[in-house]
Amino acid sequence: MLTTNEMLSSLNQKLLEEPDRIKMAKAKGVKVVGYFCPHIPEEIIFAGGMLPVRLAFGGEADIEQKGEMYLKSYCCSFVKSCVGFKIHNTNPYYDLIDAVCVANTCDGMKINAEYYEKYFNMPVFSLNITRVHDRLRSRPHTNIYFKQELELFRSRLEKFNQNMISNRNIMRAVDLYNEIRHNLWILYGYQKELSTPIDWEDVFNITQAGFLIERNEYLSQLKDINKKLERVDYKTSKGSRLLICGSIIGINDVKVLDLIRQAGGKIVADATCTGTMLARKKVVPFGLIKDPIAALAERYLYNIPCPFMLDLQKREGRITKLIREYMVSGVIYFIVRGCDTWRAEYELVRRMMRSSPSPELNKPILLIETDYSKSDVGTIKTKLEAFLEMIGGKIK
Amino acid sequence: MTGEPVFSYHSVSMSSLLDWFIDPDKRIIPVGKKVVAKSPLLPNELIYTFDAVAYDPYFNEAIIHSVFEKNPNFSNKAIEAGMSPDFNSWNLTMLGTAIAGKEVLKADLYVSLCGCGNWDDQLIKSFQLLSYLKDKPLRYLEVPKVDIENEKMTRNFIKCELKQFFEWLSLNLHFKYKEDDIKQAILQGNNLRKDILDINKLISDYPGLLPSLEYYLLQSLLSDYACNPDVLHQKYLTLINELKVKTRELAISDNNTKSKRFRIYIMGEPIQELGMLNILESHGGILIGCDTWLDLYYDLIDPSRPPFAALSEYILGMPTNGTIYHKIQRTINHIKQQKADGVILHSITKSKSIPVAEKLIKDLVSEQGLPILPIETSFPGESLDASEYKIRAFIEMNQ
Repeated sequence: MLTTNEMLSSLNQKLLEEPDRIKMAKAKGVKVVGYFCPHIPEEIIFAGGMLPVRLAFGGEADIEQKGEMYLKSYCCSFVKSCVGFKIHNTNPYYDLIDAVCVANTCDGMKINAEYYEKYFNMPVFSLNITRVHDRLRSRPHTNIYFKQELELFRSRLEKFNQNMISNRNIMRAVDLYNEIRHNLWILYGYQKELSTPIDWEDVFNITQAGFLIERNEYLSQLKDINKKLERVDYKTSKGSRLLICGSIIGINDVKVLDLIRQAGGKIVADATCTGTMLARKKVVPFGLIKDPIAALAERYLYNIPCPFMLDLQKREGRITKLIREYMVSGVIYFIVRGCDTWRAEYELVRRMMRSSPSPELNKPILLIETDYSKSDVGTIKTKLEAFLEMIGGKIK
Repeated sequence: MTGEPVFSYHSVSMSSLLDWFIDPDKRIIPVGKKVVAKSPLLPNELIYTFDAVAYDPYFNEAIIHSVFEKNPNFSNKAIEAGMSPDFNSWNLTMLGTAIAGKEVLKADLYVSLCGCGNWDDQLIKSFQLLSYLKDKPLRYLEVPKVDIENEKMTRNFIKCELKQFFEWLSLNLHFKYKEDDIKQAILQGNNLRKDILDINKLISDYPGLLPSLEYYLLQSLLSDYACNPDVLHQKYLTLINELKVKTRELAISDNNTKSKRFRIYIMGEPIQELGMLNILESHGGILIGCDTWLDLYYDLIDPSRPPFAALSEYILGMPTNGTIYHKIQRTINHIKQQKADGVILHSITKSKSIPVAEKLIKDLVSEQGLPILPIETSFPGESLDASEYKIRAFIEMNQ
C-alpha cells in the first residue's frame, strides 16, 4: 500500500522543476501570463500558446509588509502580497511573467492592475465581470456583455502574443480543462464518505499545484494520482467534520489550516476560490455552432460566487449543499483581514444557518479573521479548540 | 482646537441653507412621497422621475448623527450586531442607525450603483446589508468599467440596465412614468448642477468669498440634500445672487485679502472631521474646490437628447466608471480650472477605495507639478491634531 507522500512524490517533483521548465519555454519565445483571480478563463491564454500561471501565493508576512509600500496596512493581505512579491523578487513565478491578467473583482484587485501597469511596467489585461446576475437569468444583457468582454480579452491577448487564438484551439483547451476539473472533482468527492483514501488538505494542495504546473502534465499527474488511490488504504476518522469557506487561502497560507489540524479538526469541504470552486462546473459548448466563448462566459459568470458578485442566495445555497453532502458539523468562516466582500456577508450567512429549521443545516459557525503574521496564532488556537469542543470533539 | 466645525459666514440665505442641511426637522420633505435610499453617486434624476424622495443615508446619517449630534455610538451598534469593524466610519454609522431604527428618513426602497469601475465595495455591500436588515427591496444599477475599446458594448449594457431599473422602480413605487417625467427630472437635476458650477466659478475667481467649511458642505451635501430639488435650487439661487453682489463689492474695494491665501483643492473621500476645514483657514489656506461627488455635477445631462438616451450617456461618462488613472485625469482638469496651489487627498481610515490608490493618485497629481498632501481621518475628533500639524506644514512649505 502507498503512503500519501509516495503517491504525491511525482507531482511534488514536477512542482519543484516547474520554474526551470518555464525558463526553458521562455527561452523558446513562449510568453508567460500570470493572473490572480480564478475568474480569468485560463483556457483562452492556454489556447493562444501562452503559459498561464495563477499567482495565488500568500501566507508570507514579510511579503505582505513589502506590499505596504504601495497599499495601506488595512488593505487585504493577499492583495498586498500580490504587490509585495513583485517588489521582493524572491518568488520565481513573479519574475518569470511577461504580462498579467487582472479580473476587475474587488477594490484591491482593481488597483493591483493599475499598480502593475504604472510601477512594474508590465502589460496588463483587465477583464470586466458583472456583479449582478442570478441563476434565473433575469438580466440577460450580462451574459451578452461578458461574452463581448471575453472576445475583447481574446483579441488583446492575440495582439500581445502576435498569434491568433482560434475557436478550435479554445475548444481543445476547454476539453483539457474539463478533464482536469473532472479528475479534481473525483478527488474532492472522496471526502463525502467517512472513510477516505486521501485527506482534503492533500487534495487542496494538489489543486494549488495545478496553478503552476503545465496543464497537460498536470492532467496526467491527476490521472496518475486517481489511479494510485485505488491502492491506498482508506482511513476512518471520527469527530468534527468541518467546512471552510471565505476569502482566498493562498499557496503557502497554511497558518489556519495547520491550527485547525493541530486543534483536532478535520476539514472535509471548502467554498474558497483556491479549492473546490475550481473543480466545479465544466465548460459546456451548446447549440449547433458550439461557440466556445459563449460557453466560457456561461461557466465563468455562473460558477464561482465570490462575494464581489451580489448573488448572496447562490453562495448560501452552495454552503448549504456542502454542509448536507459532506455531513459537516461546523463551519469555519475564514477571512483574510481587509477582505471586505466576504466579511460583509458573515453576519448574513450566520443568521441564515442559525435560522434554518433543519438540524442538518443549523450548524455552528466560527469566524476566523487573520493576516499573514504569526501574532494571532495563540488566539486562533484557543478559539478553534473551544469551537471544536463545542461541536463535538476532536478527530481521533 | 476643539474639533467642532465653526461656521463663519453669516447671512440669511446661508443660514437658511445650513439649517436645512443640519437640522432634519427644518428640511422640507413633501408629505406622502416614497423615500428611495440611494448610494451617493446615483444620479437623483432616476428617482425624481418617479416623484419620490432621493435620500442618501451614507452621507446624511453620518453628518447628522456622528458630526452634528456627536453621537459615535451608532457605529458601535453596527459592530455589536456583527457588521465588520473594518468598514469605514461612514458605512458603520449608516448601518448602525438602521440597526437602531434611528434613521433620519425611513426608506421604502434601496438602490445603489455598482460595477467594476471605482465603485466602492464596502458601500455596495452595505446596501445589501441595509436591505436585509430593514427587509426592504434592493436594486443595483450596474455600470461596467469603460475604456475606448469597450465603450460601445458598455453603452448598450447601461441602456438595458437602466430600462430594467426604471421598470423595477415603476413596479415598486406604483408609478407609471412618462418621457416627460424623465425630462422634468433632468431639468431639476441640471438646475442643481448649474448652481454648483456657478458657485465653483465664483469661488475660483474670488477665493474666500465663502469660508471653506460652508463651501465644502454646499458641494458635499448635494448627493443627499437634493431630496427636494426645487426648494434647494431656490436656496442656492438666493445664495448665488448674494455672492454676486459681494463680488462687486470686492471688485470695487479691491480688498479681497483672502485671495492671497494658499488655494487648496480637496480630493478623495468625504470628511467627517469637518473641523479640518477651519484648520485649513487658520493656517493661511482657503478651499477653492473639491471632487467629493464631482461625478454628479461635472457635466450637465444633455437636455436636447431623448431623455432616456441622455441619462444613459451621462451615466456612461461618469469618471468613476473608468480606471483611477482616468478618473484622476478628469479631476486634474477640474483642479486646474479652479486654479489650485495645492491638493489635499483625503482618505477615510479603513476605506479601500481611495486609500488603496493613494500612492497612484499622489504620483499622478505630483506629475502635474502640484503639491499634494495625503490626509487620513475617521470619526470627528479622532485625528484633528495630527491633521493640523500636517496641514500647517504643507501650507508653510508651499506658500
